[in-house]
Amino acid sequence: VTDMSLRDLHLCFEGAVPAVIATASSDGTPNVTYLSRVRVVDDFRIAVSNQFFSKTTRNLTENPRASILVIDPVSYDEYRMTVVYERTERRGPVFERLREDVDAVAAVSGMQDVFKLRSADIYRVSQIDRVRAASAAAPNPAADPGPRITTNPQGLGELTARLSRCPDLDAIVTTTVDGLAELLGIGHSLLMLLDEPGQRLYTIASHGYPAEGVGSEVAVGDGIVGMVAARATAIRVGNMRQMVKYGMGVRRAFEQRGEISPGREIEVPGLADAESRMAVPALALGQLVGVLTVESHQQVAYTESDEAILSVVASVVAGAIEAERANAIVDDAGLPGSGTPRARRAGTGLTHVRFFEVDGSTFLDGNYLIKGVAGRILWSLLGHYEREQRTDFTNKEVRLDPSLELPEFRDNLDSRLLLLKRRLDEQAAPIRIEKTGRGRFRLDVGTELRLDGVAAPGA
Amino acid sequence: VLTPETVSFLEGGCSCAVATVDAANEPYGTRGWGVTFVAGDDVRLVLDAADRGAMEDLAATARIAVTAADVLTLRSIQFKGVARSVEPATDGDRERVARYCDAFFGNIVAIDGTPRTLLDRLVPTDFVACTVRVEELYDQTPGPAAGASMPEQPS
Repeated sequence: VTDMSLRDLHLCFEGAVPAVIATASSDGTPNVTYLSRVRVVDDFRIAVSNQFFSKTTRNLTENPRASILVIDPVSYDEYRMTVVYERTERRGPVFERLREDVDAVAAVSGMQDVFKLRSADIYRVSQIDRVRAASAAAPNPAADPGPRITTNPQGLGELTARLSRCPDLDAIVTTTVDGLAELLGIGHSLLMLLDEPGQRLYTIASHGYPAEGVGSEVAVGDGIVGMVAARATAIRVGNMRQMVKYGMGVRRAFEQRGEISPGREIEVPGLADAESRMAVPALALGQLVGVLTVESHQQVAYTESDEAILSVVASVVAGAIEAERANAIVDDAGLPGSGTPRARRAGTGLTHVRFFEVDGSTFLDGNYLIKGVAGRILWSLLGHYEREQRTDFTNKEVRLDPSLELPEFRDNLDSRLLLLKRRLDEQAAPIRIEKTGRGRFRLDVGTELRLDGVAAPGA
Repeated sequence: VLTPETVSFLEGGCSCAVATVDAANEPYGTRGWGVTFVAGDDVRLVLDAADRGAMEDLAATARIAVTAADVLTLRSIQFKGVARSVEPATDGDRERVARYCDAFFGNIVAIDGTPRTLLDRLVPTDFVACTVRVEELYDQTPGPAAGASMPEQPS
């Protein structure tokens, strides 16, 4: 390596601009193609993902020399690396890192079954040259790279301090997303929690989006957020649009060969035009609690340091949520088994509540509200309200309601109640939930109700 | 080798990656700045005049490969052949570069939102034009068929 090091070029390896590799066969015929992913291995080596056995691979077995062009996505300075192919790896940390990159592409384009990393090709870099100094006619407009995470320890310290003072789950999730914006400069964030069976994640809080999206779901394993949950490892992408474009291009090629059938694009929650997305697992006591995701319109917005900081935040959040859940169950034990009846107040207007027993889907005046456990909770509460005129409830009696089919352990009831409360607030529904004390809440119904339950098929 | 459809693709606003090779079989990567059909299987490829590596390779071996990729669909075609001549760019070549940059960068701006001012930093200040006799064509679209030889079709 000449006067420049691979570290100087670190932004070139975020995958924002496709790299180019030139090789030559033993008879002197050149070959040139684009690379999907290049990663730095150490100060002298890079790794290139190999998904398809190609002419490049065959050339390298005959002639190990190659020339690789990379572009810094912030300055658009271009570099040429003269490299020598050293070896191919099919396991180990370098392979795993590239495999995560490839799997992320597969996840956003629905190709998990066919698009896989075959090998990581390791090259030794013998020389780095700047292709072209910035032209005076085209000054570097990216001298100011724009806002990135404010990685100051004071901000992180203040956020964790605020989280440690939160009295309940509602405050924890609100403080998380608001604090990321205020103290760390992260304008778009999404906190999702794992459901009881460990199969889906649901949004409990977000910041910076037109709609809070409370209750939106993603299956574990689907998309970047689902992959983070499935593997309990962080994923940081600085080139979302490029990645999705590449993934869908490859998908079309598989479709044309009939190896996969045309299917839906996986809907990723968040900014439609995000360039950077970073998602980290929120773990407590070795268990996945949820996934914290941040996004930016800016390319390569997040660094490894940012990933470390967000992981700290996610760990603190997960610990706080687990502690709150444990406290809630202990508190429940000291409460009476049912809430005090309270006169219902006269509502205005009429709201048609339609509930589908099959999956708990609940609609208010034809508009989707929520499904699953949260939908069943609301249906149960409204039943009590209509039959017994009750408005005050305890978490304990809800927890014991057999119609909710809550699991015996880790029922996440408080998360579901909070999800329901936030969803009702977000929809400005005439039905609200108001916390009245630890383990207690009130159903506030400002409308007449028409309850319409649809039994499950075969029930 | 070249069909009208292939020519139309190569002359469009595709990215253009170029490989040359020296007498010692050392490959070298660079970029092209516009492809124009000449006649038969000949195309005119504009290159950076300051790119000594490419110029020396072409003088030594004349072997060249070019991959053109549609930045929206990633459909890619690689042609391989021999450089028959390299000469200073004409006014027509420079106009071709301007049209090429407008088309290629226009696609990137539209799709990726990259500011044009950033993309302009890649553009060389002076050019040469290389006439290439195309001998082989490959489908280079990312996917399981990448690298497959393209069948010859009647022009």
